[in-house]
Amino acid sequence: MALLEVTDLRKYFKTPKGNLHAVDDVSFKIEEGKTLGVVGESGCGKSTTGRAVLRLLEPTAGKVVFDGQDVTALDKEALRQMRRKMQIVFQDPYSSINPRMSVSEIIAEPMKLHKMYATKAEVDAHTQELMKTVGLAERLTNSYPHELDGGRRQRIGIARALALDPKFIVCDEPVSALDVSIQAQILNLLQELQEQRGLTYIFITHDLSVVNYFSDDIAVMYLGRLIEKAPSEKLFANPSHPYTQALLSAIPLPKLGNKRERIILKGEITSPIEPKPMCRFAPRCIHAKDICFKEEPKMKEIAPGHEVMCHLF
Amino acid sequence: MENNKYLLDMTDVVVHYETDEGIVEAVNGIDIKLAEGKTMGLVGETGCGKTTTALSILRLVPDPPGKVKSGKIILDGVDIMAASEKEMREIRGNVVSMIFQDPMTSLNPVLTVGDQIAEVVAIHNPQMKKEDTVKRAMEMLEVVGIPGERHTEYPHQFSGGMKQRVVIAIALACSPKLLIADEPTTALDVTIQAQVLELMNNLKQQFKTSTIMITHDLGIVAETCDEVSIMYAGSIVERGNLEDVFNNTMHPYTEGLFNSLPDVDNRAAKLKPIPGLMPDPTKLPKGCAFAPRCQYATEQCKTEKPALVKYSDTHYAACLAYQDKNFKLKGWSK
Repeated sequence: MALLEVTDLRKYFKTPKGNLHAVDDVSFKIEEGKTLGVVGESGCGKSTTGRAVLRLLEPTAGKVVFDGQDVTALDKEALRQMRRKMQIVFQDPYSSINPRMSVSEIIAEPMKLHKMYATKAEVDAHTQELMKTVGLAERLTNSYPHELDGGRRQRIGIARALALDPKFIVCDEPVSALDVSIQAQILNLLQELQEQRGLTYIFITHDLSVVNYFSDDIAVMYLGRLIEKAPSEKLFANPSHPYTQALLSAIPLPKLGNKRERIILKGEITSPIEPKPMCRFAPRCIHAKDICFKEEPKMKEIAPGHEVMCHLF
Repeated sequence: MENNKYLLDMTDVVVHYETDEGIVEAVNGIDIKLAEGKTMGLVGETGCGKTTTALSILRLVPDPPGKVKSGKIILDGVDIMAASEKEMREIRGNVVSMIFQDPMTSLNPVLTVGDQIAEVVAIHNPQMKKEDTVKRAMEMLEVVGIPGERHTEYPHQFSGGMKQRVVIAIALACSPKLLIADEPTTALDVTIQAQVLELMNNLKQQFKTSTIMITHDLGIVAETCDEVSIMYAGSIVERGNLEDVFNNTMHPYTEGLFNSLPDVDNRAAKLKPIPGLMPDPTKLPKGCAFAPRCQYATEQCKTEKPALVKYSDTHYAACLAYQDKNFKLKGWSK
């Protein structure tokens, strides 16, 4: 059974011009211990999806079943208890931790809020253990975030997410703000933690080479829609949606010689406010036909585990 | 005269920021030679001195606290260090201009984009009539792929990629010989990045502008540059054409950068990050700045600073390990 099952998740935001469809009928499953990579460009709804799954944003419609329980139906207290099992690591380690708290206070806070331990000594011991797990030296216990670099701050964010011993973590662009050499350190850490603790991840990113390295399955989003979903090897070997093809061909590869055919997309992302009933990618699509402007395509399975939302199939 | 060969000839440039907390040794003796029409990638991580190097070419290092301590910069035959402020104003925009990383903050939100382009043209061509500067602005917008009639619009009416096109139009308005692009696509999405890089490649061919492309992305270097310099802690540690640096990597730091990148074609390949962090630029190590993170470092590396040594006509590296003729890097050899 899947640890997380999301069905027709929808999140709309009200704006003066109408509803902004940030996430529209997104469905996916993740098995325990696996990673689902969610990719897409700014404004495609990938972070909103991550947050709506945790109910950090209240979904407009849809169902999120985690560990056999419907998260969308939980009351406040039950949700609070549920959050022990589902955590998040944010993109920007500079703005997601409280600058007035020391490293140990930041990591210990969730344990105190959830009254995980009876005594301070136990909390301290667990904090030290977590710092060791994520590779923060003991001498940093009483340091403040401003004294640390981005990589170490992100380690604090990871330690705090681990504090309640969760099963599932949403990693929202956890390495985007970091330099490449530090990025690789954090990616390796997240992978080790997954192996040791059997963690399940949603890994949200705009960086396709990172997501390929990290994920078992990949979901590609465009303007609130999940447009293609497949196991990572399949998606990279056989990208089928014209947007996925363009996205993959746009990655600049750090290699010489293998000049690929690059698909340069026309124009820019259209407005997500009250989208018309048509393929949302059609205005930029090189294969667009009449039907693409009249009718929104449905998700189709084109190979086992490989689904695409496109009229070409 | 050898100097005439190059559009830009920087020799042993040293820039320090003198702050209350100590002296930040941002750029420590950098040589850059760039021929006309060529594009050079300047690669390195946050705080390695890439941007400071670029600002020194424009003589825009903020002073105080920044000081260009020594060195020589010859741009298009003019000694930048000796030029008067009036001459510098002529040079900036006309001979060299710069594109900054964040298009959202490099445009003036209360002026139309047309006025912002026309302003540059008017400053450098005081005799030109206003209508002509506006016409030139519209031409420049067309050059970067924006309909000319949008010149009356304000920056907030454009998306991020479009704003960066406007910034490029401003930079190219006076047809400079050298364009410095400081992470021009870092703030953009990949498909938009692809559009902007394609535009820059086309413009390069059209205008024969030399470019310094400052980036941390080796993928962008592979696609847009002719040569590349790798910077670490204020020094160039390796320099060469793409073939030299990508396929015959010499410096352990360059190797570390490649090993830190996930390989799109090989998912199983483990990432091998460089351990540790870049040294504090106020307290650089005595010897090689990379030695504390280097798996090949010896006792000698801790005390002796390596010089940039020439290994072929184009390939230079600053690493003491090559004093041993048989030395080879372990990983990354293709």
